[in-house]
Amino acid sequence: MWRYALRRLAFIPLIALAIGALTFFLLRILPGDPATVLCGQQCTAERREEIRQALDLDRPVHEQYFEWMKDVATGNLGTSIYGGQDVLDEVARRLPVSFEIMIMTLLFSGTLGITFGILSAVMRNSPLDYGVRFFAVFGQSIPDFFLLTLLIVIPSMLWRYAPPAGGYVAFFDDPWTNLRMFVPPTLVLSIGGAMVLMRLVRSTMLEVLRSDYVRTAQAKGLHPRAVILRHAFRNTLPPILTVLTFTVATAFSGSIILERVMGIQGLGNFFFQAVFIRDLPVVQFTVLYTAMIVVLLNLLQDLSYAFIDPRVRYR
Amino acid sequence: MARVWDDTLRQRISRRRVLAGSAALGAATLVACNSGGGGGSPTGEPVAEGTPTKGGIIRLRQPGNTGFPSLSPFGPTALVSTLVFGFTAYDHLWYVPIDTGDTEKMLAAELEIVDEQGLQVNATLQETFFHDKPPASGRQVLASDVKASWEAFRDDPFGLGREWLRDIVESLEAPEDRLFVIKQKRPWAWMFGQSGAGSPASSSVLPAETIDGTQFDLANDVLGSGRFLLESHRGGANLKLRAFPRWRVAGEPYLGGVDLVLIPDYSSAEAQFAAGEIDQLDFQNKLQADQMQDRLGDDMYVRTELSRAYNCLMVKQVPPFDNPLVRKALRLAINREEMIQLVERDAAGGVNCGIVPPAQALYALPEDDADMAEYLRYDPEEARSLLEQASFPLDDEFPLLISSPSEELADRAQVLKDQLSRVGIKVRIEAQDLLSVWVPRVLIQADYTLTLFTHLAYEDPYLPLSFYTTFSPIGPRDEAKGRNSMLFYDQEIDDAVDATALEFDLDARIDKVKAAQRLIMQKEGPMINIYSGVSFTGRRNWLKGVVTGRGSFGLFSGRTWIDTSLRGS
Amino acid sequence: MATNTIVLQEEQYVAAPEPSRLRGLIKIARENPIGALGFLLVVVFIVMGALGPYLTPYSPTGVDASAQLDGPTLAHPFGTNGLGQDVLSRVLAGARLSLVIGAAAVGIGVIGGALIGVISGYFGGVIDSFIQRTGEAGAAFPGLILYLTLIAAIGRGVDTIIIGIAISAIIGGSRVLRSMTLVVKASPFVEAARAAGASELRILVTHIIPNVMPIIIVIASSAWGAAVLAEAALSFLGIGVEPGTPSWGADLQGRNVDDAKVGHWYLVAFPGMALSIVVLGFNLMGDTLRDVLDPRLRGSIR
Repeated sequence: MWRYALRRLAFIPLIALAIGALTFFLLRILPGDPATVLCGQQCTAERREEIRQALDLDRPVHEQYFEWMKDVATGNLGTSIYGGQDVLDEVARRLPVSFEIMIMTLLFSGTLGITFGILSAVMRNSPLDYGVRFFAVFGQSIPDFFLLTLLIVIPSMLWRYAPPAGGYVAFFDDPWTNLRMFVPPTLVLSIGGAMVLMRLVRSTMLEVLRSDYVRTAQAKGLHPRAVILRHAFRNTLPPILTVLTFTVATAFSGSIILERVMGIQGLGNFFFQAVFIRDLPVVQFTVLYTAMIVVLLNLLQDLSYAFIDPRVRYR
Repeated sequence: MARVWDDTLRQRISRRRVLAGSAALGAATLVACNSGGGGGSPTGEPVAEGTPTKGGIIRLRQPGNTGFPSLSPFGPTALVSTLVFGFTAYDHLWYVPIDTGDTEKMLAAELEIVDEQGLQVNATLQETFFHDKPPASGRQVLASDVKASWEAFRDDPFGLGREWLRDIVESLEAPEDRLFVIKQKRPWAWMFGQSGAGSPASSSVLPAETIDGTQFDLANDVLGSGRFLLESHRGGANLKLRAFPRWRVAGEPYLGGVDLVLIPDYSSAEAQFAAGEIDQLDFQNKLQADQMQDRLGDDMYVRTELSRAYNCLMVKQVPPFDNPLVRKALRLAINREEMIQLVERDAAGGVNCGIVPPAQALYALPEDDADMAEYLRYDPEEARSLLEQASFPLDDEFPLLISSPSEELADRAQVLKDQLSRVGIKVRIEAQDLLSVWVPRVLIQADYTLTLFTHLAYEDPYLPLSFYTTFSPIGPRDEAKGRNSMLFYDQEIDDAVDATALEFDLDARIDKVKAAQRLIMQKEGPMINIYSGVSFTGRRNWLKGVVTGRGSFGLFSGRTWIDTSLRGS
Repeated sequence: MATNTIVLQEEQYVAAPEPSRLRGLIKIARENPIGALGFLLVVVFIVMGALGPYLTPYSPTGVDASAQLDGPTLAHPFGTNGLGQDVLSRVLAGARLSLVIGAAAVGIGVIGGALIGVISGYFGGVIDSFIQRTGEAGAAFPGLILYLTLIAAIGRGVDTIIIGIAISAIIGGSRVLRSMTLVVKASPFVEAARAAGASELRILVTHIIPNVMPIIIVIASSAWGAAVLAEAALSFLGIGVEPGTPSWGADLQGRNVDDAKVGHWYLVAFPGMALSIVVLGFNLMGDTLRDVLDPRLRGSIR
C-alpha cells in the first residue's frame, strides 16, 4: 500500500506544474489584458507598453512562467495588480472566513447526516425513517442558492430581519455576532450534503446490519449499541469519507455562492472578483491552491480508505 | 410634467441672479466674492435649526463589499477613495457650486487673472497647515505643494478627467511660498469648474514630500490639510476621521469627526439607519424612502437630490446608424416616462435629460423650451415611418452593450430593448464586465455599435458637450478628423462648443451653451440622453446643517452638525 | 443543496454483468411509484418547455409600466415583476431554456464522456493513464476559470453555457464509464469471447457497449438534472444568460430579491419552486432507474 501511496504522492508536483502552467497560459492568452484595464482612459500605445513592461507582461510567456515558478518556490506569491497588496496577506485575511464556513458546513452535514442515517437504518420503516427519507429527497432537490435566497427573503419579509453588518467579525472577538452571521447560511447549505450523507449511511448500514459477522456479534450476546457503533459503523466509514471529502472539495465553490449572496468576504468572493478584473497573481495562486487541496484530499481519502478497510488491495 | 425639483431649481437660480447682480463681472476678473473674505463657507439654504452643538461624530455607510483597496489618490483604485477624502481630508484652491456657478475661494485667498486673454491665473494661498502627521508634521501649506500635487495628478496615467491639466495647462509654478501661478496655452473659461481644476479628484493638495510614496504610505494613510484627518481604519474599511484642530476656518468643522461603517448589504444598512446606528442612508428608490419615512416619522427626513449623472445611449456612426433619419427615429422611439417608472419605480425617480443634464440647472434647457420639447418627444409611429424612409434593415439584430454588474442598468437595457422592438429595431443585450471588458473595449477602443451607460458629468456642461465634438475625451484619435468615440465629426458643433470655453462672462456663456445644445439637437447628435436619476437620501432628525444640492460638498461643508441632545451622544 | 455526483466503488462489482431488460415498464412503474412520479414530473417539464411559450398570453421579455409588481391575480397567476413582466410567462420560458440547455449539454457531454471512458477503459495502457491523469487535473481545476475563459473566448450566451456544462459532463462521465468498462472487461463472458477468437471490435460492440448502456442512461438522466441546476447557478451568479433572458436562476437574484424582501414573495418563490420540482423529478426518476437497471449500483451512485 505504501508503494501506491508514494506513487500517488509523486504525481502531485506534476499535477501542480500542469495546473499552474495551464492557468498561466490561459490567463495570458485571454482578451482583457490587465495592462489595457490599468491603462485607463488616456491610454496611448506607449503608456500601455510601459505598463506591460512594469508588469512583466511583455516578456515571452514561458519566461514569465519560470519567473513565477521561481517566485512561488521562494514563497513570493506576488502582489495584486490592482491594489498592490500582497496576495498572501489578502489570502491570510480571508482564509479564516472560508475556513470557518467549511468547518461549520462539515460539522452540520456530518452530524445531521450520520445521526439521521444511523437512526433511520436502525429504526427501519418507522415513521421517523419515512419522514427522514421524505425530507431527504426534497432537501436534495432544492438548489442551495434558492434556499439561501429564501433565507434572506423570509426573515426580511416577516420580521424585517437583516444580517449583522460591519464586515467580518472573528469568532474569538465576538462569538454571538459571528455565529449570527455564519450559522444560518451554513446550516442551510449543509442540508444538501447532510441528506446525501444520510442516504448513504442508511443504505450502507442496512447492508452491513444484515451481514454475517454482525449476526455473529449479536449471537455472541453483544449489546446492540456496541454492535452498531463498533462493528457496523466502522464499515460505513469509507463511503462517508468519500462524501465528506467531496463536500470539502466542493465547499470552495459552494462557498462562492454563499459568500456572494451573504456578502461575506471569503476566498470564494475574492477569487471570483479577481477573475473578473484579471488580477493574474491572485487568480493563479487561488487556482493552484484549490487544485492542490482537491488532489491532496483525494489522495488522503484513498489512503484512509485503504487503512480502514484491510480487505482492499491495490495493484 | 411639473416636478418638485423644477421649483426648487428655479428658486436657486433666481437667488443666484440676485447675488450676482451685486458683483462686478467682467473680462478681467472672474471671481465673485459674495461671501466676503475668508472663503470656504458655501452659500446655500439658510439654516435655522437651532444653535449648533459641536463635536458630534457623523456615522455614514461605506458601501461596497470590501474596504478601499488603496487610500492613495493616485493609481487605478484612486477614484472612490479620492471622492471620500477629497471632501474631508484634503483641501482645494476653490470650488464652484452647481447652483450658483460662481467660484468660491477656499485655500486660495486671492484669485487674479493677470492678462487680458485669461491665460495666466495667480492664486495667493491662505495661511493653512497640514495635519500633524510625519513627514509634514503640521507645517504650512506652500505653493510648491500645490504644484507638486497637481503635477502628480497630471502625470497619473490612471487618472480620469485630467484633460485640462494635460492639454490646456502650459505650466504650474510656485515663484513664492504662497503664490501659485497657472499658465494656460489658451483661454479656458471652464478652468474653475470640475472639468478644470475644480475637481476634488484631481486638485487635492498633498504635502510634496509624500507624493512619491517613499516617505509616506499613501496606500494606507492620508495626509492633507482638510477639515478632517484620518485617525484609523481597518483594511480600508471602517474609517475614522476626526476634526482637524488647525483647520483654516476657526470654529469649524462643527462635526467632531466622520465614521464610515462598511455595510455591504443594503437591508442591513436600512436596519442600522432605523436603529440610529448610522445617520444617513441613500435609498435605492422613492418607495423605500417612503416606507422608511412611514416607519420613523419625525425621527427622520428625506431630501431628494438630482444626480449629476445621466443615462445615455451612444450610437456609433456606422451604417445603418449614420443616417440622421435613423438617429431621429431612435430618439423618438424612447419613452422616457415609461423607463423612469419601470426602473426607478416612481415617476418622481427621474428627470428627463437633454444634451446637458438637468442638474446643471444654469445651463440646461427647460422642458417647456420648444427645442427641448421636441427632443423629448415620444412618437413611435413617426419613428417607424422614418425607419422605412431610411430603408433600415429590420431583420438585423444589433448588439446593445452594457457593463455589469448593475441591476438598474440591466433593467434600463431591457426597457430600451422592448421600446426599440416596438418600432421594429431588434437589439440583443450583451453585458460586459465593467473594468476588464467594457472600459477598455467600449470606452477606450470604441468597440461598439450601441451602448447604454450612465455618465457622470459633475458640474460643467463642457464635458457633456464635448462628447459631440472632435475633441471628445474618449474614443480613438483620427489623424485628420479628430477624436470622437461615435465617429461623429461636425465642424459647426465644434465651433459652437469651443466658443463656450472662450466666454468668461457667465450669462453670455450660458447663452452660448444653450445655443450649442440647440445646434446639437437640430443635427440629431448621436448620443441620445435619456434621464437623470433622483436620489433619495434619508437623514435622522439630529443630523442638521447639510446643504442639499451640492453632493458631498454640502455634507462636509464644515457647517454640518449633530444635535447631540437628540441623539444622545 | 442538490448535488448529482457519481462515485464508484470498484470492489462492489464482484459478479459478472448480465444484460438487463427494460420490459414490463408498467410493472416497474407500479412497483416504484416514487420513480414513476419523478418520471411524470420530467415529462411535465419537457411538455412545458416545448409548448409553454406558445401558451403564454404575455411576452416574457416585454415590459409594462401599468402592471408593475402586481400580486398573483387571475390575469397574472404568478404575479408580475418590477418591469411588469408576467412571472408565469417567464417561468414557462425558463423551462424552455433549461430544457434546451440541459438536453444539449447532456447529449454532447454524456456521449462524449462515454466514448472517452469506454475507449480509455477498454484499451488501457498509456492512453488510459494519460486520460486518467488529465481527467483528475481537469476535475481539480476550478470549473469557474474554465468557464470564464470560455466566456472571454466566445462570449456569453446559451452556447457558452452548453459547452461549459458539456465539458464537466465529459470529465465526470468518462471516469465512471471507464470504471464500468474495466469491470465488464474482466468478466468471464468477455474472456470467453476472446478465447473464442472474437475481434476486439466485435467484443466492444456485442459485450461492452450493451452492458454499459444502462449506466449511460442512468448517468444521462442524472446529468440532465445537474445541467439544469448548473445553468441556474451560473445565471444566478450573473455569468450565465444575458440580462433579461428568462432563466430560473437569473430570476432568483438581483432586484427580484430586493422586491421579495418587502413582500413580493412570488417573484422568487415560483422560479425557485419550478427549479426544485424539476430537479426533484430527475432525482426520483434517477433513483428508480438505477434500482431497475442495475441494483448493484444502488449504494454508490448518487
